[in-house]
Amino acid sequence: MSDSEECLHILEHVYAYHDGELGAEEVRTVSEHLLTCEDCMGEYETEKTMRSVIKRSFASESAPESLQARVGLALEN
Amino acid sequence: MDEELYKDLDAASMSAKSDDELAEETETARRVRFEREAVVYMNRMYGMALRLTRNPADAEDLVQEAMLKAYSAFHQYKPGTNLKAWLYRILTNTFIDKYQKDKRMPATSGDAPEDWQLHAAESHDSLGLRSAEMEALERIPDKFITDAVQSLPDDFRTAVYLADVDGFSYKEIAEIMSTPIGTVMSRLNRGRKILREQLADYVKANRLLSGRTLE
Repeated sequence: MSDSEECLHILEHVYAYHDGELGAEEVRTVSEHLLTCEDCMGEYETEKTMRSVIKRSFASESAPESLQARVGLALEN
Repeated sequence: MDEELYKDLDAASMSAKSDDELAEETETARRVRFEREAVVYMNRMYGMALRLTRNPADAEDLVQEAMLKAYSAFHQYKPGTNLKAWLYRILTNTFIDKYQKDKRMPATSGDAPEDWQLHAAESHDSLGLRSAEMEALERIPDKFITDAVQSLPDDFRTAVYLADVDGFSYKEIAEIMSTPIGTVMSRLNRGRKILREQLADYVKANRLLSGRTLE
């Protein structure tokens, strides 16, 4: 595999790698590549940052306090 | 609230109950058990309901209806299995039954974006945002990001939200969305690419890279 083919292969697996959805062997392949390829590591870090900012952006959202009482009441009836 | 902790505690307390005991459970005992075990997930379910319905009043109605359905089906729930995913599946199915069938909600087609919107990861440069721009991502206001997620096509939005905000695995998302894992991965990939492009555009338009923001 040429460098760019290998990078393409790695980039296809970056989501699953970050999501913890790869098998042990694939994890090793991706990890080893990331350690030696600055560009792919950059992509991985960017994806990681994407996840954390998306999660953060919803963190302050919560259900109105009245919802629990409302559902509790509905369950009793 | 630490949902993981609750899940562990729940699994421990439920594992003691046999099928016979569950069958003999009184109505009141079942309600108490449901309130103790399922209601802890309601706050997070409301977030998912907001993604689905797009407005707070409908989201509250949806959560209430889903909780009532879950309660009436609670005897079918197998203790020790994934309660959170079970509840989310009821939530999404309730949404489909309630809103998409009677067309009160504008039902956008799940796989609406065509290839013109999608950029394959052909090279490092095609992704729209260089790795050096990561810090800029962190300066994007929450509101812009939540709006961008909210504007994704329904199925992409649901998959991304379930994975990135609620932390479900691909397998759990597949169960919740009643779809094969391959479809989950494709929805995640496409949804995340669209999001990334929108965030990259925001970074460029607002010059976040140079450390200046538009007033």
